Amino acid sequence: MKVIGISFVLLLALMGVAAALDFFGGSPDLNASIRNIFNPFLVMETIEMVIFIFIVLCVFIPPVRQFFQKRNKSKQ
Amino acid sequence: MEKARISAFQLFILIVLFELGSAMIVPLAIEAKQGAWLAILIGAAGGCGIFLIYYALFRYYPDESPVHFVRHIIGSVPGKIVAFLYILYFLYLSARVVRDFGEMLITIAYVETPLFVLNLLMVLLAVYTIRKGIEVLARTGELLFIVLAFLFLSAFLLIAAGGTLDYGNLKPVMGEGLAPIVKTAFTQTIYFPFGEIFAFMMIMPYVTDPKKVKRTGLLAITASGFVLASIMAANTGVLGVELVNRSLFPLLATIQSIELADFLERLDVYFMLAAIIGGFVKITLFLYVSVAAAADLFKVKKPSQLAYPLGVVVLLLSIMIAGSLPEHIQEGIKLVPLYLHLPFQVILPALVLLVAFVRHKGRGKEGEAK
Amino acid sequence: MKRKWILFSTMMISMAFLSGCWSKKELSELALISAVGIDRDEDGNYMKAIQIINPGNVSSGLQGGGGGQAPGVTVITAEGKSIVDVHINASAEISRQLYHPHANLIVIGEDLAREQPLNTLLDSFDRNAEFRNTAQLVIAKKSPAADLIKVLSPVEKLPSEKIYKTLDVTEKMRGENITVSLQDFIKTSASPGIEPVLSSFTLEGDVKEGKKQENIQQSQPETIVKADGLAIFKEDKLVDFYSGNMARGVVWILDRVKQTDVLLDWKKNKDAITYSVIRQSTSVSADTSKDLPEITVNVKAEGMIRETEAPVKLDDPNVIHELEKTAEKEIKEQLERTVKQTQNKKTDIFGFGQTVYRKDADKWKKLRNNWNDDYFPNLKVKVNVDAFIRRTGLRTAPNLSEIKEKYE
Repeated sequence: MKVIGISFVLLLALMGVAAALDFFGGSPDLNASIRNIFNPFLVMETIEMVIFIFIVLCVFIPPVRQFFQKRNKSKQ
Repeated sequence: MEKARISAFQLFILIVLFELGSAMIVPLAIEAKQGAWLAILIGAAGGCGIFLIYYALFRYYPDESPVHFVRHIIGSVPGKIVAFLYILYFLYLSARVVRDFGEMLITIAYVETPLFVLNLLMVLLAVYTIRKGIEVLARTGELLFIVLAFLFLSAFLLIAAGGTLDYGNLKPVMGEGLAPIVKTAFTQTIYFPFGEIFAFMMIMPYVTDPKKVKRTGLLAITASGFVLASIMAANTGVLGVELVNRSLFPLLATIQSIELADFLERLDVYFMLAAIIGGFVKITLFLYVSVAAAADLFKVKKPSQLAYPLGVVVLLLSIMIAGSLPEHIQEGIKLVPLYLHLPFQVILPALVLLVAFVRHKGRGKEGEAK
Repeated sequence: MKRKWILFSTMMISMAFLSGCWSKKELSELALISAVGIDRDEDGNYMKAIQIINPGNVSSGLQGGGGGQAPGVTVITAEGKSIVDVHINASAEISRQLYHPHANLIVIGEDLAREQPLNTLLDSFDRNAEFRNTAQLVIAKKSPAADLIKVLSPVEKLPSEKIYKTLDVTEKMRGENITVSLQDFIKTSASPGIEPVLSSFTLEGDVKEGKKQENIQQSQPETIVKADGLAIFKEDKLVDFYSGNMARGVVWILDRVKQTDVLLDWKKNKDAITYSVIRQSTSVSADTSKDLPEITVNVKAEGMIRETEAPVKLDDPNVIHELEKTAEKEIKEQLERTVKQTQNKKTDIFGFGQTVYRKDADKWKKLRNNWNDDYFPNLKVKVNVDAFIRRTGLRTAPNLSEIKEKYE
């Protein structure tokens, strides 16, 4: 769980960096910069979408497995 | 930090592959026109200078990762903040390289394939390597280095033999004086690619013989400087400055122009192989360094657990960075050197070194022993 | 012992029935149909042209031109009162039994499609288990359907294959045609609130020349069949043909565009920049809160710049943004024009009615009776386009910008 927390914090911070650079690069306002971050994800093919979701979900496999292992152990 | 050991020679190879990485495929230092190669060499000299700063820091704490010793030097909380910023910096650079290579593959070969999928393949490869550890990467590097060396030697031979090289294109070297060349060197080449060697601060403690680090580092930077300069010189010689300036991947155009003996032509695969090898090493190293640093900073017991999640972060970021390739490139030329490279590669390390110097001097030999 | 004998004899008798040769068809007794074309003559009889594969002439690939002398197909024609009737009559002309499962193309003549609702015509194909319902349906524009399947084709040995593949390729590359199978057509025409469209093919040149083997023995065949936009239907009858940007507009709103090129004006240069759409997604939504529903078409497209004929600094992100805006405007105008003209034709080929039905079934009950004639033409349709330019190919600024700088 900790690992996911770290990754998420880093991702958010980096999105901030990307938006800031976009803003300094001559984008009209901060809103547009934030929208620019997400627009590459707007047009996706179905297969691409499936792979995308799969890849993101894979991040959650180890912590979930760990959680169940811990619970089984505590039961015993 | 994992318990791993790499030899000085492996360090040399990693640095060379890393420096060549994405620098060899782009029109590096083209703002200096015909003097691009000279700007690269000046950049390499500057890179050696920056490397000496890093080396001086490394000498104070030869066995510790920078994430640790920065806390010793400037205090716990500021040290943690600095380490966190560096993790962001490395992840961002990693994402930039991933994007570079994804865009290259799409532009050249896979027009209809989504960027996401191409980036994914590259990132998965890097994640796998990182889970195996730095030693595996170093050994893979040795193998790839041989391939790359063969590619370069034969490519130069073919270009020279093919008669496409026109030395006249390289003149005048200083058409507008030395100023634009020096300016390019100090605004671009010093940081990209040479200053990025900062990432090796995390790798240096692994080297078996710390005494050799200095010589190896300087030698590697000089060698890669010469290779990059000769690539740019060959590009300019074959294509002319104007075409290099308009090309996204001048090396590709140079290699495509080889036509020898009626069958040695369309050697695009040369370019692809070289680019993929360099890109793989660079992405993997940046990602490795960020994973190791993050594991250190957040006290994750097994660093390999972080590899995949951070890989996904890099993957997402590589797509979010910019809406279009021109935007990506413009940010790379105009903003990143000024707002990211300069503070992170030069100013912060220099400040930290200064503090370390003052502290150690104050404590005298006692500090040295620690 | 007695039981064993009973068992044995039962097994022996069963063998006679289990071999499964009740209605056997030997390959050498079959005439494989590759395409059918349907027209109507002056007396109101159906005319059916049946394209049959000549197996010996098709499989010459390995022998190096051994069988290439004669055409790969033979076309026979027959007429009759109904489709099945024609089919039975056709057997008078051919020595083998007509075999449908390989037919992948149905061509329908323009005149017939204008007069008779296609659904009634296609019933026999739909009903016949031997016929594949994935066969493509196309309209022969300005010529009888029979002519279209008689013309021999270069590259492909079977003319039916040529039409089938051409349709597939041009749909992917240009986006002015769509592949519609027999099943698709019947499904669409049976659904409420949407009218079908079909791709149309036209004949260039003389059919008499096209029938001959000499036609394809020259570097540029005299007669050739080519895809030509869309046929628009209303209540299953052909009403009009669309071509060019109009056809693409329809395909676009139906979310069937895969790749296409949009020409953009830049400054004073008309059609100077080619924006290639690599992938897009279009969604149609309806707002049913008012009396007359309001339709919104959302288009998201991404692609690259493939060609520039005007000096434009493609390495500047702001120029790219400006080009994106131009592309959005251009696509929006094209789609709005398509919608406007189709509203004048009073046929809802975009399926706006279907969108309304899915959103608000009660509302649809009130509107459905006169949807095509009264409501559809007066719909307020809003088109939103987001176009993204992701990259510009191997070069950044075009050659031209430097030339201009030099001479100015």
